[in-house]
Amino acid sequence: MDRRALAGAAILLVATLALPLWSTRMEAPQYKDDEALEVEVFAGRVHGDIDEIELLNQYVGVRLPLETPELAAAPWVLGAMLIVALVTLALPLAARRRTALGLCVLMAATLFGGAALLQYRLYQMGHERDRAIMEGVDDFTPPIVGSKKIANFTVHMSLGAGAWAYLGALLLAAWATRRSTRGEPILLSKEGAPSVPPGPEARPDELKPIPCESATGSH
Amino acid sequence: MSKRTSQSWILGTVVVVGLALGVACQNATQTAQGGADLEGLASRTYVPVGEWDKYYAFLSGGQSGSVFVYGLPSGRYIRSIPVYEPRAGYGYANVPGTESYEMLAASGPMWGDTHHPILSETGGDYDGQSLWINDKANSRIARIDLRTFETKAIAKIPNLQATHGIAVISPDTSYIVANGEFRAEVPQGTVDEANYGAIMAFLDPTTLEPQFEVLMPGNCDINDSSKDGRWAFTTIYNLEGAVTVEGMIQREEDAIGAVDIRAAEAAIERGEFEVINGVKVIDPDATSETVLYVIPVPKNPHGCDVTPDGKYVMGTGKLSPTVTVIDISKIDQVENPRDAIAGQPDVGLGPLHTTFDGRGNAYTSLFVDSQIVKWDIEKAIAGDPTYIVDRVDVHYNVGHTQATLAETMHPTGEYLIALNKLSKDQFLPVGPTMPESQELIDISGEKMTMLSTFPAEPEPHDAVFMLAEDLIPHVIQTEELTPDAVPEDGSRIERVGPNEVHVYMTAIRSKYGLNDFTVKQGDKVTITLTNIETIRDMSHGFAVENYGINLALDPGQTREVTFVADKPGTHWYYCTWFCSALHLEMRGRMLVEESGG
Repeated sequence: MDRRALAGAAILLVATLALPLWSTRMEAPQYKDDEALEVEVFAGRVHGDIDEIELLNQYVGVRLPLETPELAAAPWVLGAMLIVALVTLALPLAARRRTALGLCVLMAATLFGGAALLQYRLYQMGHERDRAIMEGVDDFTPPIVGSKKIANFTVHMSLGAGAWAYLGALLLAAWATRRSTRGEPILLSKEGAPSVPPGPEARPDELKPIPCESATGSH
Repeated sequence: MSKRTSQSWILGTVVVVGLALGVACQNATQTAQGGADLEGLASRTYVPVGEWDKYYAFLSGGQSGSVFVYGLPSGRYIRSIPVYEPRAGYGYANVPGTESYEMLAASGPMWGDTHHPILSETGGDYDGQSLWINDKANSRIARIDLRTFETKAIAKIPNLQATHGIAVISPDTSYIVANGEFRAEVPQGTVDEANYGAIMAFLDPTTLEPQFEVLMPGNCDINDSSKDGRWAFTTIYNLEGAVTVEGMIQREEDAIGAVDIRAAEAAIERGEFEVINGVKVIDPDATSETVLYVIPVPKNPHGCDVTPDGKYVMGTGKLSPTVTVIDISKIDQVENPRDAIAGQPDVGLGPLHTTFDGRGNAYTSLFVDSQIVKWDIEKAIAGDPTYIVDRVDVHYNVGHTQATLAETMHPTGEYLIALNKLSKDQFLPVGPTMPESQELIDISGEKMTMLSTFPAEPEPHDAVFMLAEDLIPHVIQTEELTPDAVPEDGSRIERVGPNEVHVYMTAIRSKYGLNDFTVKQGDKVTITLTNIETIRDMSHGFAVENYGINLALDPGQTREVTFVADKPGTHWYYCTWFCSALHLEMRGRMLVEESGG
């Protein structure tokens, strides 16, 4: 069962690499419906109406953080996680569980680190502006998720499918760290833990997975 | 006591005068609008901000030489399509050395007289590809591409004078037929009245090249085609062949001419033509098969309109108060051409044009009566005295009238426009030149309802309409980059000869690709400019101070201008289409170094 969880995590990590992690949609009276400006951030690249936003940004002195180290590193970090997940699949149970725990910690740390960096970049974009050509637009900090009025635009920020896939991968990785699983009683008894007889009604008492938050907290 | 009496008297007077005024004002309002429900009427033409009209209306501009696009039912003016006249605002034909200028100048004068806009058809319905417009003053015809609403071709038609009526040969635009209204010698160039004739030209719809021409009697006025593509009809006046007004109205009868297109094509195949100015011209008197049928109608007819079902062609009387209804199926079947006439209803004074709603009714404009009259076609043919359905007053002296999609096989029968020649008291006075007037009439019910009026550039002749939903899918919003487009990093200046330079520049908010460029006085300068914007409506202009140059560039578009830099010094170039917060700053300098003389 933990193998399946790990395999699922690996698949979701592949999805994370391919799908947009975060997106913004900018709407203004003259940029609405089909013409609203959209930007999608993928692991390693930014896609969307970049040229038009850059043209508009020149008037308010804003620069899009398009080439940041964290953006460049994202595919490598996610790729590493994917490899770890795949390698873990081949390990014996005990090692597998420990490695899964490690993966879980790495993923959680990356999640919070990435979110913090994104929020920092959004702050930086709204504050470290070039000399604005046009006055009247105050410094701003867009939230990671939510809406904000910036100049004539209402900007909507939201998590992309890739981010949800990542969260799913993290949950599955956490699932894989459980001490006992159905269908593998022999391995469990090797470690001297009480063997749980398999059966449709069987419920191991240690069903609860190690919460990742607490794992993160310990590091 | 006397004081009180006088006070009451004053009070009484004030009350009475006040009441009278109030009643008078109320009466005035009611008289002006016939007591109609104003809010109800207004709501029938009101299109809320941000919403679109149901119809495009293309109106000819008469001596303005262009085509004007309005939305219906709002009557909102949307844009002009300059055709035979320069329009600096659109960068059209205003500067020698530009493509549009060279196209127009090569075809004739920089002015035209546009009368009849017509739309391309497939299967008898509008296909949203092209619009053609005549130039009566200079024997020309032009084609507008409806993808861009731009004039794409202009041609002078050989051998004819005064391109007047033009029509699409239904149902699939096999030809554009163009009438030469004025009689002149064919070929032109010698003054010889004996050799006068009028020409009906059959043109290739795309190239506008004449495929053949037919020599016609009298003056060919307005034309139309049968729905099966076999017949081209025209009203003919001045069968007298006179050259004065008095002479042109002597005969009691003139005619509708019906050219059998299949017979004409067969005559061409048999070699029964004469080549004049490179065009095959058929003389209908010298063909072995009948090419031209002449059906007598009362003198000096004007409008020529085929019913949407293709059964009848109608000659509208002008000097006769009648409309002559001709049964198209009988034209080549009867011994006496007069026997093809199915009916000749009396409709009112000065009938000029007839249009249709697709429900069996005809609507005729009455120039003298200043009315649109609605009449039932079959009742009129059957001699039923109740054929007149309704009349509505227009303001004033209506010329053309056109109902929505009436020229197709599927009219919508929703609105009708009266294109009036005089407006007199209808708008705020603006000096002795009054605006022309157009009136929108609802024809969806049994009775017509006058909805609204909107002024026009001089002067509206005819109109055609398209359902917006049929045209919108064809309209493009940004141009594809052409092979000559200047790439984003391609702005540069190249000296291509001792006295010749080529400047390549991009335009994008809020900069030109070059902040400045230097040429020598006397250099021939070619500037190729590409608007590299990719979002719609972000047009840029390019005007050069004191050089009379203005280009207009839609997103993706490349324009070129060539001129001689004969004035030394600094000449700023700047953007003329308001583009951005830095539009005013979007500029650069052409530095013309004084030549060493």
